[in-house]
Formats: sequence, structure tokens, C-alpha cells
Amino acid sequence: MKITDDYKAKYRLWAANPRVIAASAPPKLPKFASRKFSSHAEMNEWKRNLLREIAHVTASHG
Amino acid sequence: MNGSETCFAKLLTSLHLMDDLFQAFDKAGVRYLLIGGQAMRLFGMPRYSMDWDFLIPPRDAQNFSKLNDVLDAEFDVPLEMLGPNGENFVQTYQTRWGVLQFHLGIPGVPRFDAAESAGVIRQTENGTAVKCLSGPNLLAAKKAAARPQDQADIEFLMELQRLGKLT
Repeated sequence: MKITDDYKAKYRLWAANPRVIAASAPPKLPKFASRKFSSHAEMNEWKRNLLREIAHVTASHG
Repeated sequence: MNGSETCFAKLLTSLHLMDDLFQAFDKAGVRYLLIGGQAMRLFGMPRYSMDWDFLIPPRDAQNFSKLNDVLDAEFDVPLEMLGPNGENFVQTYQTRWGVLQFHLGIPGVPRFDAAESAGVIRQTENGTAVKCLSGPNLLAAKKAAARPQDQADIEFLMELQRLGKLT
């Protein structure tokens, strides 16, 4: 088996030599007000909808 | 705005990088632990995240006051303590540094005080010290969350553990 056939190989390579890569610039998101959630499930649902909205906006702008 | 708040507000206007915010947290004595994808990155996993997730003590009034002072110019409404019925458990803000999310608890991890005692200092790519959830607690949190997007993080942390590098 080639190393490229083993999808876990990358984790072994990264863990053997951990390096901190630079943080990416924050994405351009539509402006939203702060949100407060009572659970992670509630927050994850909101986030899914936000990502869906971003995908639609991106797709509609080609 | 009192003298201390004015001082923090002035400080905030000079914060360009996330590193500057971490330094402001330290200067103000803010209690926090970095968790989530950005913590994974500081553990050495080449990973993208649009959020900065923080675990903070849920009812430390003084800590909320410090956080709100440091971030006064960025917040439209202040961070609030955990409510009697679980209100404010996760609070999300859009800021100049990206999305900041404050978690007043996370599954799989002990209470904040214990998690803080076990916490580790990691360094950003610029050498800034950041207080992070410990590796074993990060792994426990990822396993407890059990979301599809956590699987790669779990694989990486388990490999660190296998190599005796998960601290």
C-alpha cells in the first residue's frame, strides 16, 4: 500500500512533527449581531444556517 | 466609562492581531482557555477555523467584567453569566479578528476550575503565549461532541497520544 492510499498517514506525519501554521485571515461573512444560545445544539443549528446562507450568496454571485 | 474601561478601550483600538488580544487578556488577568479548531492549530494540526472558541468560567462576575472591559469597543451587547435555565451557554460575536465564541461549558470536560488547572500554554506562530485546554481534555471534548467534523481532530489527537505527546 502506498502512503497516499492510507488516509490516516497524514495524522501520523503531522503528529510526528507538529508545527503551528499561521492563522488564516477571517472570512468575509455577512454582518450579524451577537447571538446567545442555551445549548451547543442551538448554536450548531444557527451556524449551519449561516453557512448555508453564505453558500447561497456565493453561488448567486457566480 | 470609568478610568479602567477607558484604558482598555484605548488599548483595544491598538489591537490588530489576535496575538494583541491574547496579550490584552493576560494584562487584564482574564481567565480563559482556547478550545476548538484554533486550539487544534496551536497543537500542531494544519487546520482552518473561522472561529476563535473560548471556554470561560460560567459565573465569575469579575472575569466577565474584565472581558467586557477589554472587548467593549467590539461588543454590541456584553457577555453575560450563565442564566438559571442555561441561558447564555454559548455567546457569539463578530469582531475584527473573526468570530469569537465564548462557551460557559463544553461536553466531556470537567468544570472550568479543574480544566484551568490542567490547562497548557501554547504559542501562536508569532510566539504569543495562549492558555489552551489540555490535550487530554481537548480529546475528551471532541469525543463527547462526536460531530462528523471532529473526526479528523480526534485522529490527530489520538496519534499525539500514541506518541506520548498529548499534554
